Amino acid sequence: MIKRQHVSIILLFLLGFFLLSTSPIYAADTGESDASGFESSDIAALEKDFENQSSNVFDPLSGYNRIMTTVNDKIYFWFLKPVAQGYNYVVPEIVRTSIDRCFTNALFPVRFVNNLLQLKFKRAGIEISRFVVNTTVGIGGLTDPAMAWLDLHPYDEDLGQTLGYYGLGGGFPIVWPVFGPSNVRDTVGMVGDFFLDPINYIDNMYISTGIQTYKRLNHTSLHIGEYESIKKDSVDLYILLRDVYEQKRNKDIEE
Amino acid sequence: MKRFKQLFFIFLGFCLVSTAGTAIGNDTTTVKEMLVSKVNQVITILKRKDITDREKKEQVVKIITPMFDFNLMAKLCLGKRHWMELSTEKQKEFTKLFVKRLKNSYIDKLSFYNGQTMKYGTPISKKRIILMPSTIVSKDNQDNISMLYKFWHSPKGWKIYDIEIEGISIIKTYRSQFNQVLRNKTIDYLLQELRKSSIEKPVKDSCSPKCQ
Repeated sequence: MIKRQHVSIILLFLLGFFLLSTSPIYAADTGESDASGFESSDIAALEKDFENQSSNVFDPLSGYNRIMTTVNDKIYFWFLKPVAQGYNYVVPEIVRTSIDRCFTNALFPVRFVNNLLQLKFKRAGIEISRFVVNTTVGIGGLTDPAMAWLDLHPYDEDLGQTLGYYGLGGGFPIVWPVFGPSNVRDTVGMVGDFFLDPINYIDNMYISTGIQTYKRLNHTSLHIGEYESIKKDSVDLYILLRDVYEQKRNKDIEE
Repeated sequence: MKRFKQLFFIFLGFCLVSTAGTAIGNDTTTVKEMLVSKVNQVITILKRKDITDREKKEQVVKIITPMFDFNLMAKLCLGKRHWMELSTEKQKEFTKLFVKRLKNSYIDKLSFYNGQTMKYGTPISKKRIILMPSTIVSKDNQDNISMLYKFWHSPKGWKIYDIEIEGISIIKTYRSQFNQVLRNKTIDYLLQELRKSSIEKPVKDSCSPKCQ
């Protein structure tokens, strides 16, 4: 007992020293942040964080990708958005949210398998609990009691992330019709995950495609305005979407 | 006796941590407190029902503006190489247009406010930088958004120079776009694009959560 306390005291001392030693000692401020120049070494240091990625992305399909970005933009504004808005008008938000949850619940195999493939066993276990609780108590996933009552959060993983987890880079960017921005790695991932989505095991291809389309529409209906908001921020829409996609994926893989 | 000893150790530990804390924790606590207080002010305004959306937006911008180092953000977005190529006048114009755009974009996002709250993590301190992780928690706890505020110790105190939303850095996204534009077009074209968008900006098409 005493020993343990000694250890903790030592730890506290160490912590104190560590904290003290890392305390920032600021010399007199050098550059003015609003001066026009870049002279201040601080600013140069800050810039380093942003340097690597920006300029040279290998993008052999950029011509096609740009066209497809425009096509997807039109698909959204001419088809998806108006239909989703009509649908919104008829179906109350709470129903749409529940349906969206139900579809998410059905993608359990994708999350489970990919958590396992990444050796994240605890998370895979949580995914099982979530699936069991939400499918039974949550009536097929229409509600999310696992989150609401048990505080079990989902761990979204897909094959693209698994491949990334094992060190595979994204490869060059590819924009898919309807699905939007992707890259070589995640395209491979999408194909693999296709086989883990129960909807694709419905015998009739028309029905399964129909359900997938409806799923997309329902999801869109809950997120109207977001794409518009991103688009407004753009100077070059294709580059913005490409960059947002890559950064988001990198973060997802890290987690 | 044993109990007393335990208490003593706990007390000693506490003293150590707290003195260490006052010596160094200062900056991180200042930054965190500043952010918390600003965010709270913003949320209070967004929740008010007695003022128009326009007034809300104006007030919010007034609150958050002093927290940002906009000049630095403009520089970082353009990058050193491009920045140095510009005349002082062009630099000023670029900064002005860019800041306007940033603010507009921020204002635009406010219309997505729908009762969310903010949860704060532990600040991470590096040299002259403090990273402040936090999460926007939605009402049903389903669509939480992770936010990383990056502060640097500017001559005028701690200021935000970048925000990562779900891992997406504002500076990075602008940087790659500006780089692309400047690869085959001139700065005048870029300025013109920025000017155009800051005129068009007024948020009329934005869809509040209610109309979804």
